[in-house]
Amino acid sequence: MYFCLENDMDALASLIHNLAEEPAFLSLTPDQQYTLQLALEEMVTNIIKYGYDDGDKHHICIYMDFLPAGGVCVELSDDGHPFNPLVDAQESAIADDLLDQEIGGLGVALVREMTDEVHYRRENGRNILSFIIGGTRK
Amino acid sequence: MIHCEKRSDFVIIEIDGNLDSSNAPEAEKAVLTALGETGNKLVFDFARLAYISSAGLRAVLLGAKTVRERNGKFAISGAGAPIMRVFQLSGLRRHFNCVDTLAEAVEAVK
Repeated sequence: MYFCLENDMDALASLIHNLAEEPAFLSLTPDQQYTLQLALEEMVTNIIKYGYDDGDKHHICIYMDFLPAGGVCVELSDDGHPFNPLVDAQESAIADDLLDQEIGGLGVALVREMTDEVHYRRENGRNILSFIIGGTRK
Repeated sequence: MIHCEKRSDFVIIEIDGNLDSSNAPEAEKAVLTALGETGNKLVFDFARLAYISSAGLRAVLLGAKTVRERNGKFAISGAGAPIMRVFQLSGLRRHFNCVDTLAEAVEAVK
């Protein structure tokens, strides 16, 4: 399954809305559906917010491979600034005390925790982020 | 949908459906407006919340921190298993007082 969306938040919202009606999506377990929605929201939001500074339209490509045995492999690709969220994203540590807790920087860590694998590479001028939910790489 | 209710000296914020990047800014604003300058008792009723992302967690943390800074109390009621899973995996579970019912949450912040 392949989607290509423009870099704006409305496009992301409608992608998630449409995805929820796809039979392949509905074949995932509820936890996997949740994780897929969350990982797409977190990662695509990061691209839209931080990937570009030219004000132009860009395309973010999303390829989803639903696995016969259950689970899904997802690949996101964008032509934004070179950015490896697994290394470059500002992540907040969990503080012992609520008063010391940073309130942002939670998204990437959450995706890492909820998915089975996350990988990043830069290829032909594009960022390529892939993740697997409910399976492993062959 | 974000529903906000002020009772005597505490605030209840109920969120139906999703709390994500599309409505988290609105939720943050609702929390801060309802608490005003001095409010320090806050309940999030998540009995009808189906989905929360990091943007939503941010709004919840903002509320929790704000009342804590004012030496107040904070509780979350009714969060279902998917929401609790996100609290757990994000590591934020330790900062949140989660109870089953709204009545228990109201009692907890009194």
